[in-house]
Amino acid sequence: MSSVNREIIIEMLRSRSYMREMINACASCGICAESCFVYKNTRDRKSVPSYKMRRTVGRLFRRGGRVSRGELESMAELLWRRCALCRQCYCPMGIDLSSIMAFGRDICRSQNIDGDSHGDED
Amino acid sequence: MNNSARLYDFLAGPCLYITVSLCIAGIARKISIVIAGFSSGLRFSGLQNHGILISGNSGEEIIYPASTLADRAPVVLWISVLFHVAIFTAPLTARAHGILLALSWGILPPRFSPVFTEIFTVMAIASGFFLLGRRVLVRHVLAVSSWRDFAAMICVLVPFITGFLAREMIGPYEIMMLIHVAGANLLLIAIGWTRVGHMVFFIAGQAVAPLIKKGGVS
Repeated sequence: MSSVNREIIIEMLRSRSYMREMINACASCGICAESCFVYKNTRDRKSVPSYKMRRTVGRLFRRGGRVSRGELESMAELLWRRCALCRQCYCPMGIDLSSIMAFGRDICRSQNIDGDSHGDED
Repeated sequence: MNNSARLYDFLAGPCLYITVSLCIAGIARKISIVIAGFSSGLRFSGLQNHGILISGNSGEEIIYPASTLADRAPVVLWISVLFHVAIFTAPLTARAHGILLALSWGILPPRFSPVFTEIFTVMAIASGFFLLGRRVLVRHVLAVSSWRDFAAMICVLVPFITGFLAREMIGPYEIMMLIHVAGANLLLIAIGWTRVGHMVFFIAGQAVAPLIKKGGVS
C-alpha cells in the first residue's frame, strides 16, 4: 500500500479554502436527503448528501489534510459509489454540494484513488 | 445589592457591550467570507437556481421559484420560516428590551403590545421544539446531526423559554432572568461565531447570487 502525499492534499485544500466555509454553513437540516436519488433508493444515512460532504471534504478540512490512504479510500466509497454528481442535490442554504463532492474526487485522484479503488466505508 | 443583582447588572451592562461587539464582528466576518469567496469560487447557489425553467409567452425562460423547498418539504419550510421570523421579532418587540435600550443607550424603539411579543415567543418555542423533535425523530436528519446542532438549538431556545417564564412569573423570577440574560449573551456570540449564524450565509448568498446572474459581481 503506497503512502499519501499530504503536501499535495494540503495545497489543494488551501486553494479551495472557501469550501470550508460552505461546509460550515450547513445547518444539518437534512432537506438535501430527499433530493438525492441514491438516498431515496437506499434510505441509508451514508447516502445523505450532507453526510457525504462532511465525511469526505469536511473531514479533510478538519484534519488539515492529514489523512491516511485507508481513510481516503473510505472517502472514495462515499464520493463514487454513493454520489453520481448528478447535481440534483438541493440545499436551502444554497451550498453547492456537487462542487464539493467533485473536489473530493479530485483530491482522491491526486493520490491515485478513484472509483475503482475504493475500500469499504467504516 | 445581592450577588444575583450584581451578576444581572454585569450581564445586562458591560458584558452586553462585549457580546454585541463580538456578535457584530462575527457577522462582519461571515459577510466578508461570502464577498471575498466569490472571487475564488465560493457559491451559495441561491433559491432561483433550483427553480423549474418555464417558457413564457415572450419565449424567454422564466424561473418558477416555488419549486424549491415548498414542493419538497412544505411543513418544514413554513415552520422553519415561522421559527426564524419569531426569533427575530420576539426580542425586537419586547417592551422590557425597549426599556433597557432606552435606559442604556438612549434608543427608544417603537412600542408593541405585550400580547404581540408573547405570540411570537410562543411561536418561537413551539416551532423550535418541532425542529428539535424532527432532528431526533427523522432518521436521516439525526444521521447528519452532531452535538453541535443540538447545542445550537438549545442555545437558541433557552433565552425564549426563560424570558417567557419570567414574564409569566412562573418559577423563580431572579434565576429565570439570570439564565435569560446569560443565555441571550451566549446566543449573540453564537450568531457571530458558530453555525447558529447560518442565516448570515443564507441572506448574503441570496443577496449576491442574483447579482452574479446579472453580471454585477465577477
